[in-house]
Amino acid sequence: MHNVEKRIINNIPIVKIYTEKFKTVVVSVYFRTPLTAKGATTRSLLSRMMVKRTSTYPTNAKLLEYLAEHYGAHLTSNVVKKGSDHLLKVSIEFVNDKFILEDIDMLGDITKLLKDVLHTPFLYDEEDQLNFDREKRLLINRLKSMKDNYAQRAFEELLSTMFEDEAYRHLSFGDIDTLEKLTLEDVKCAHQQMMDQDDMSILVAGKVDDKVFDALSELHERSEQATYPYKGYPIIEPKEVKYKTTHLQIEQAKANLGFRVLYSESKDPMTLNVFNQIFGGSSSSFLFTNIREKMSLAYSIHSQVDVKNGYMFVLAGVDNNNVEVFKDAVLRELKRVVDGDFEESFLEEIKRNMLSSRMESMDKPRGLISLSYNRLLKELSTTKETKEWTEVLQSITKDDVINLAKKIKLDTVFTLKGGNENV
Amino acid sequence: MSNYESKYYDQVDETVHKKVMDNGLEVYIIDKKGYNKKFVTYTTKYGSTDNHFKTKGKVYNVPDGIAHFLEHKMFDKESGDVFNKFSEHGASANAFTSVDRTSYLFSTTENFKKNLTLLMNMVEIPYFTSEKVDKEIGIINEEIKMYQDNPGYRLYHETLNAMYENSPVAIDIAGTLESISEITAEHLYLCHETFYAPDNMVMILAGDFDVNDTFEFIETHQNKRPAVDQSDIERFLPEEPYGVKEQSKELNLQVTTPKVMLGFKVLPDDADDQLKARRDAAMLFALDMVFGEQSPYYEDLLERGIVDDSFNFSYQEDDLVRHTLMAVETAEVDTFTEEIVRIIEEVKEEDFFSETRLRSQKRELLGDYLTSLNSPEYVANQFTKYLFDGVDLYGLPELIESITLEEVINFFNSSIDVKNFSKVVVKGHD
Repeated sequence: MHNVEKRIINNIPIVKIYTEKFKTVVVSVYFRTPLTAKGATTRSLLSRMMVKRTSTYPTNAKLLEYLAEHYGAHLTSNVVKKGSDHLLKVSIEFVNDKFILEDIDMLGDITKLLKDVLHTPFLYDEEDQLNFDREKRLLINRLKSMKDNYAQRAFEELLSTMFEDEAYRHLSFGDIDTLEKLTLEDVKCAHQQMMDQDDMSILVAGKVDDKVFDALSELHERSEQATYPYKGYPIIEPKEVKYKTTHLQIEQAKANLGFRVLYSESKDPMTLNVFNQIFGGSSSSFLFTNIREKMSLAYSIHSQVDVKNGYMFVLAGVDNNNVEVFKDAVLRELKRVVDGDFEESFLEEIKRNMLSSRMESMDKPRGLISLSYNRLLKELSTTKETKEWTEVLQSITKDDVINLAKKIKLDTVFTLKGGNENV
Repeated sequence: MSNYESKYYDQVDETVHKKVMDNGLEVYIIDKKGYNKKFVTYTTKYGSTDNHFKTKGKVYNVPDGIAHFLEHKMFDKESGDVFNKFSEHGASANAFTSVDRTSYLFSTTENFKKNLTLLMNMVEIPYFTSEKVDKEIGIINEEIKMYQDNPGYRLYHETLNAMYENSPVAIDIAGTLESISEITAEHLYLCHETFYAPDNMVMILAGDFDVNDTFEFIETHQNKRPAVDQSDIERFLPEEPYGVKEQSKELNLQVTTPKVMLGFKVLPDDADDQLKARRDAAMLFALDMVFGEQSPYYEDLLERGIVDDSFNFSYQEDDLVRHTLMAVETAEVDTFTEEIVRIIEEVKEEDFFSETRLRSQKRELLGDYLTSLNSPEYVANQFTKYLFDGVDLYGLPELIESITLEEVINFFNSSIDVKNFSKVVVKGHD
């Protein structure tokens, strides 16, 4: 269906994923570095500035015009947390040559543009101060308005309560306080460091031939390969459960529970993945069928996991008066897994569904890229021959799930509640 | 061999196969060669606005939110929750209700036929009891409250409410706690029988299929269903006055920056489906040229701090509504409103639109469209939407190409009336 080829050119890995099933080609450039508060905020701003203008297309209007002429090529950037790292990704998606009637060298033009995007911040000078100020203002606006999404706001507060003194509390897109203090010089430094020292990878998916390696090798050069292992944070056992409640004038309480998993075996991360699907990550999960469907306690309820770090979060919208009932109900469902109160056949069903959604993610160019990037990171984190994802998944037994469930410890309960504190 | 029509669309390299079953159900298979996933939607032309109708000689008024309520209850059968059955067969299922349709869908990489049978039986065979109806009210009420806590949704909904006097489009899709409390099992059976008749439904399958075998499988299933009369539905649409109901409205929610939405109303006219589709595309181009990120007006508003990148706009028209919406988060609500009106008036008077920009807009839209065709979900959902609107999704490139500058100018001038708009503001609590 698709085949993957990796080459290291100019000390930068380039991965080509060849497939004929899409109408577009996607190129993604990843930069990876350890997560810090200032780093995340600066890189978040940098990522936005990079896709707004380049030295060849010095205004946003000119850049957008150029992209429109190239059949609305989508130039995007984003930042995410991964393991103990911060990722900055620049991507461009453009249509296959076969749909283009005019004489346009798509791959050539797009690579030239991408190179311009990656290198323009080297040239930032006083004239860019205005752009910097504008993007800073816009990012501050975005961060403020994210707080108007109460579920998001509750989750952010859960993180800052649970990870009080740990780097994981920082959000990938940064925070307003750090942002206010940033200078253009900070952005330039972060860029310089990213281009010189970050673990950098280039991935491309679509109907492209080997010429794509030559084209993409033009993007950047390094004198030696900069890389480091991909890993999560050290495991910390929670001492006593932290409780925090904040009040807002809202209709429905957003109740969030944070758990830590005391990993001890190499297949624990995969088991956590499976556990999550059984517990609250799917529509046939315990939380969904029992708390939503049987008890009618919540409409939105799910659990999500950070498997690299061994964190689990249960997030729900519940009636203001039902928060305690809800928390007890979640812990009761956890106890059910610990007690092994589920069928082998359900476990097999969950595993099949996980395999199926992995297959489905290969039906998207970005899904293919993301799977290949994960494989690259895996190769970096160990020197041992690693087992195939599917093989590890198939090996998970009911006892594995039960044993993992025993290692899941409640750390924090955070509630964003309607009404007044005194009522 | 099953008889079916196939059509290849050269410009987008897509093939569509069509077969109308004996009971009137239309089925389309869209080839997505090499895809692991098979995606199926089963849709009825029945949405939140179909509350007042006549069937078999009788007129009915049913409670608001019933189409959505029915959607929830279709998964809940005597033998248990069908969601779990899909999961047991390796599929993930879902459903949604909009103003004019209800869709049930699943995607799977295995047990395709088992899942398809499950979907068909679930949608075709109703099972409602008063106990199950009562239990659902609790969940839907939490869903309604979740939307109430979403300022963006509230803003949109309040704007429709301020613009339209009688149109059912202003009713919340999920209804209200009061309206859903009135729903009975009898209502649900009535609406199911009326609107889930095979000739009022469409099934779309997108993925890598054995086409003949799949059509035969569906045909065998459909031929076994009990025969029903041709559906006979007359929908009553209330008269809607031209003017907006309320010019200005403010509500207080827990927000940090005020959000404003302007809704410019004009009434639906007797344009046919083709003209509507052309007008829709032309308005998309016009609005993007005037207010898009490349526009000098946007640049100016951005520099002056009147808008930020939350600014968005859209034109919408169907049988019930025809309007242009503009929304932004801004502390300068009044200046924003004045500027938007000024810009629209200026564009109408001056020679603003150009062939060069239109050409570039067309290329961009074509690229966006081709990108979207990668997704079986997009293909199935949009194919259904356009089909209901009387347009072929795969005919869009030709339609886009044929839009003239004159149409862009004329439609922009006739589809926005700066004297007829509602302004709705969501502000923080004082």
